[in-house]
Amino acid sequence: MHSRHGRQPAGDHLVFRSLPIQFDSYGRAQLRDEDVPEPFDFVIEARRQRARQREQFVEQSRGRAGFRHFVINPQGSTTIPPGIIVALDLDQRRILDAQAEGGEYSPQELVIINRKPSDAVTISARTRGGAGGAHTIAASLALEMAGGITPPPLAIITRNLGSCGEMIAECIRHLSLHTGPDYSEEVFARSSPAILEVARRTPAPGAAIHGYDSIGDILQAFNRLRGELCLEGLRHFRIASEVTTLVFGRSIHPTTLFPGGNGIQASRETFNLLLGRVTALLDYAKKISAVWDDLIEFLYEADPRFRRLGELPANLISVGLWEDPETYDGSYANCNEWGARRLSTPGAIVNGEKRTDRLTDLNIGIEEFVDSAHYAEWQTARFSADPLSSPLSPRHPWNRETLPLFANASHSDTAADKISASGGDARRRHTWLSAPRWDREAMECGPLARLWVNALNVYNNCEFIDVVRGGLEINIPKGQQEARRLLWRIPERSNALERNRAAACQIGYAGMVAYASLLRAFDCLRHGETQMSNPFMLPARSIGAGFWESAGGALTHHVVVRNQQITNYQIIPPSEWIFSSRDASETPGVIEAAIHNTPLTEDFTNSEDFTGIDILRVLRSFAP
Amino acid sequence: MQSEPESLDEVSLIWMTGIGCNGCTLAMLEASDPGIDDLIFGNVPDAPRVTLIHPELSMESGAQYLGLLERAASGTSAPFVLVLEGALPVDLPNPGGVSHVITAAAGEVTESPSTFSPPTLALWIERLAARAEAVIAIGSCASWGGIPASSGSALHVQSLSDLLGHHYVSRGGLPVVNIPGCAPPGQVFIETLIYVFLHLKQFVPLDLDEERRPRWLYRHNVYPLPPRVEYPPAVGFDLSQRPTVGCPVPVTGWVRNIGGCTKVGGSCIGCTERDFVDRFLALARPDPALN
Ligand code: SF4
Repeated sequence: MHSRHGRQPAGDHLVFRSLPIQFDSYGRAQLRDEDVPEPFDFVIEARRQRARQREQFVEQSRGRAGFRHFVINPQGSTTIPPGIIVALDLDQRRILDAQAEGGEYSPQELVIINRKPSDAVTISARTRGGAGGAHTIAASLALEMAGGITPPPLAIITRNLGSCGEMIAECIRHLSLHTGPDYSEEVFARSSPAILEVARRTPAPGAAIHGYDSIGDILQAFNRLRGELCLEGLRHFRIASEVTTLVFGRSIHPTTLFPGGNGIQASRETFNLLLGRVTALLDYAKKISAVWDDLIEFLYEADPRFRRLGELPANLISVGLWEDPETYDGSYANCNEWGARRLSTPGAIVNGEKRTDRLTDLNIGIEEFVDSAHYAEWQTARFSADPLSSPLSPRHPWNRETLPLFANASHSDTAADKISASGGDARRRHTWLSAPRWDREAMECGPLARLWVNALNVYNNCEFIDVVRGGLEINIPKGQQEARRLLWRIPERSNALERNRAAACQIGYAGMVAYASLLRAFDCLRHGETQMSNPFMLPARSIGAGFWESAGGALTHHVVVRNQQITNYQIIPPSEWIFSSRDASETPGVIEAAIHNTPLTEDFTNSEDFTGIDILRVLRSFAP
Repeated sequence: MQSEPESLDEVSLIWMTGIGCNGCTLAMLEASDPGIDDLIFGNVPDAPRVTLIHPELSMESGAQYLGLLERAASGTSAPFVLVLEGALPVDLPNPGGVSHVITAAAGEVTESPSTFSPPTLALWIERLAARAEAVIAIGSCASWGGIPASSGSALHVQSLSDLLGHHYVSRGGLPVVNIPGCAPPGQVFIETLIYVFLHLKQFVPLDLDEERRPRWLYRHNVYPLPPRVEYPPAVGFDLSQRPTVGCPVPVTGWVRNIGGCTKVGGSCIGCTERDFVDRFLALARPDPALN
């Protein structure tokens, strides 16, 4: 293995374009100009300008007959919805603006503070039901980094396995219960009957693989909760949950994981039970990828506007996941090495161009903005540099303090006390999600970002997944179905349908990672390496970071420990990358920008029969 | 008032979500044999055919969905059972703007007038509870408050029983049924739901304990303990000195008898109990030297 630690960015290639960070000839990060007093205190004027122009445009359109405001709730939470307010001109069939509202307030960050470090594992898991395993692992990694802890190989392998199960379950749930039905017969019958007609007449190229003769049959199978694909998805969601349960004790908020290990017994029986289930999921992966390939190519053909549904510049971030047990040592000093050996590698892409594949760059490039969120700005920045002396923004998660601004602060005296009088003007604060940015860009995360990053990274860490020119090849062995090679190509653009295609492909990808992990697990057993945990003592004073991916995308945990207690804990879940709103420079959030670019394909004559299905397809394309 | 048992061939399951993590919905979906799909298709003997009205899973969305809630709340729809996942916020942690209200469901697109102030979740729950055949709190958040109510959370929340009051009785003659756990196994929810139906049909009375949990499921005791770790400090507990909590998992496992916390070497954090992160977490730390 080559050491990537000291590798410097090649030639004039810049990792950071907006942040004032550059690299010296040893590849060490430093401030571009040491003499600038507050180097991170700047806004990007051009973006503010663009935001103002959009606002003016919306203002001017207000008088028009077709002008409407709609409130949209993507995930259907009945409270604190991540609602989006969209301004439209129905006469011109145009989306004028979108603003992410509400968001979910997660109490976890504040609940964890002042507790013992290992409590963070349990409490943070409860941020998101479908990502409990990912949070548990991210918290364990953060504490392993803080405490210099390395779990034994088999514990790392089982962590990978459970995480594959969770990823597969969430991708299946997303495709069959959430966004799949957005493309169902019942939806098209109402929104675009003409497309449904064509679909019924169009033979499905992948019929031999998935068994649906026409595209119309596929659409019918996506009818919500009744269609065959939805019910088959539900069955496989359950199989994937069993995979997680077998190694994590439970599929929702695992209770077996802790820094340094996993509490389960490593038995041959467990791994055999896993193998049967993983094989079933791999057969399903072959089929479901073919279904989505057929559906997507048909839609592009039937109405080219589908290519622009939820279109975004390719600003993509993935922090990677699935450790290589030989390289992973939990340390920050070596994180670029073990990061590059992950079975899904980390990286950042801006405008389609790869900026970095190093975890340290990803880490120092993250900032959190609260300009449009219900949080006060924090006044002190504890760390001006990371443990390797790279400069850190005062808005970096190791520096951020969570200071919620409650309407009635009587229940949160401690937090309220800290809120400065300069809390900002409340009119502009409209969401509970702070806005994470990398190099000041709003970054998309999720299956599409993961596959794209891996295709550009060219590491080939999993023996069954090959990086080929412009894409990935996933080689799935014979199960009950014939062996099949899934081919994923870097798409021309990031859009709603490509996100769904990537989620389908991710099932096969994660399935093969699980398969490869099982082979290694059997190897460990053969060699008598059955140890599942290493002793640990957390130091009284330390910092750590955990980088992992849930199905929805990049997940980071940052912890600060003082006197054996947690004094700060910051979680950036994928939902903040996707559903957050504007930052200090008024850069629109990912979801806002994706809606701005969306054409309205549905048939409607007036606002009564407008269903907004195109916007919903965009919202629900962000998995899951 | 007891409703007529023969009218219970078709029952709606109205699932509402408060402040939580969506984990109970996932647990419900995971259960099978029977699963929620079997109830929807009417495959479970003696249980009614169920129409699921769930914010992210039901067939209706938008104005149609709100219409379903409205009809249920005004007593003009089929009989229904109300389920709450998540805790209920008491005051809105939001200085203006849209929050803690039902704006929409299953991806609703609602036209928003300039004075947009839909009813709060608590208001919907109160109206629906008045007409519900039975009311179920799933998960520790809805049952007790859970993590949103724990120390440090800075939120002021209520459980379902807090909101409806301890003397609340549903149309079917039942108090709020609690299915605590963070999350509880989905099978426990489905099984309880079926027994609620059998109770409503006057076949088998529902046996609840003093915490209003299904007694036969929560009478098993489990010790909050650290995970099985292969180093000395964590072994050798004097169990006689330890508290126990009631939990179905030691018997049911997590899904289809697989997994289940301490059964497979994981920790028990006492997640079925009130204030579990404040009371039991210390007993489940993998490194007791830190306690
Ligand atoms: S065994 Fe303990 S942690 Fe597991 S579900 Fe029961 S109470 Fe919760």
